[in-house]
Amino acid sequence: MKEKTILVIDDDEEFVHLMELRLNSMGFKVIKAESGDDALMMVSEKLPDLVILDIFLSDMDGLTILKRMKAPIDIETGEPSATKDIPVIVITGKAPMVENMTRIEGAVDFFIKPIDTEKFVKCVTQILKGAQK
Amino acid sequence: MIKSSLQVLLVEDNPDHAVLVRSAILKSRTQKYEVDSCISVEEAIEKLKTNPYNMIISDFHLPGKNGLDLLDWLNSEKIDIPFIMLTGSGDEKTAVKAIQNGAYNYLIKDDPALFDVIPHAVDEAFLRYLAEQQKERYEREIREKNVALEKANRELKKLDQLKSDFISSVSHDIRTPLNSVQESIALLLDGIVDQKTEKGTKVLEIAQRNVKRLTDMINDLLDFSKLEAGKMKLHIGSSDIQILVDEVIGNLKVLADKKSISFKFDLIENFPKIDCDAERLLQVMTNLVGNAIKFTPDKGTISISLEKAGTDRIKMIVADTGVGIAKENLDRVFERFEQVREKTIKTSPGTGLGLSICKELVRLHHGEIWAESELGHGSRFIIQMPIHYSVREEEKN
Repeated sequence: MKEKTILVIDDDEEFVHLMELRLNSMGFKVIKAESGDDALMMVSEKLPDLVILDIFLSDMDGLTILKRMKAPIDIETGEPSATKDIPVIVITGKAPMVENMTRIEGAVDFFIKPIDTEKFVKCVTQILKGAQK
Repeated sequence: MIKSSLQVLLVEDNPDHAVLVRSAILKSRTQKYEVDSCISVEEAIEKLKTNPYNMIISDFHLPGKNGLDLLDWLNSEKIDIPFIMLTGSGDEKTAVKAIQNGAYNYLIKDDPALFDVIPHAVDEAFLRYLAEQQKERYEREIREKNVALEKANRELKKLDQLKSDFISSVSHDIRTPLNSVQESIALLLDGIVDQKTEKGTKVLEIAQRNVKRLTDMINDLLDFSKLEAGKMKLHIGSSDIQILVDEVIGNLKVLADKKSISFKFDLIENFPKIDCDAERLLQVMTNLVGNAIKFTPDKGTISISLEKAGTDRIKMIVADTGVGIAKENLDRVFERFEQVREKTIKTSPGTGLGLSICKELVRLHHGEIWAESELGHGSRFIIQMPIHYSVREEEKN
């Protein structure tokens, strides 16, 4: 069976590194994007099984990425979106109101830093291992 | 009353009557007057155009234009001086009209007591005039103060909003390093990385760096609230500022090396020692040089130079080869809660309080700090401060 891939989108290099160690240990492959542009390209090219998205990036609002991913039609090609069913977990250091906004936009779960590791691991496992059945 | 004599313009075509009125005015015991007379409205207008009078006493019946015409002219020219009308008996209509048009008083010419009344009427008119002027001045002052208060209030509200935004922003910014510390520890505890391996060391280093970041942020906040409350106390001693610069460079070398940034600092012989709180000045310089490293691209240069400014002050300049700061933002970088540096270079977020803390610390040393820059041509941060520190009157308590 194919190894599941998770795309981590965050401009905090160190945190991405820690996240990679954690997710690797759970048996997932991690790909990384530090900017909004990179992230959108990787989402449509690599079609990861899960996206972990920090909502505050320096170049692009994470919410924009989420909206673009979840739109029914790919705005670049006009074709039906290939990314709209990829689950997205949003993490942020800021503003609890972001939680509601991201849920409306279709995020599957939401974590405020510092992240509750146990809950986070459970959430990722449920999404990816549950989907295997 | 007013010490100098007041100028009264008397408009009266009957010369005998004019002499009597004049001597009656001069009888006032409370105020000195000088009386200038003329015989027609036209003449009065000419005089009023060139001379400042403090009061006008005018007969109603004059050859050609009458007293009411003169009053109209004064109103149309917006000349506000006390005006007393002299009318004949049975001419109350004129008197009423005069009062309606802004005359202070009217006197009946054929009143047997006229010449006894005149000095009192003149004094009273002038007193009322003064009182009204003062009232207007007070009202204007109150209006102005209200406007100023409203403005101050708006600014306070704005500052209060900034402060709340800032507090909420910082309390969230603190979560990012906190998160990294927590996750580092969790990785070790969960046995995902082994402390003894290279991976483990890297994770511990991340934790350490983020604890440092948290410490810096908290120190900034503490300094800031101390400064805000006016509770920052300096421990002044005589210091060799060149040793301080050396120490700053030593402390930040690792950070600069990471970006291959080089330092330039030339020692000056016999540079004077200065009175300062060495620890606080070190903090200011560390902040300036740290910022310079943050905003200078790889392989850039940071120059630190010292010079004497006049006989009793010194200047320290930190110049970088970074992106620079737009002119309109040069002063704002020192404002509380402002983060206006160009965002083209990725930086680790801080509290944004660093430079405003620097400014306050330099101010406590009776010095000034400012920035010079041009976009794309680097920035220069300059501190100028006295060599000798003496406690100021307002600081004694």
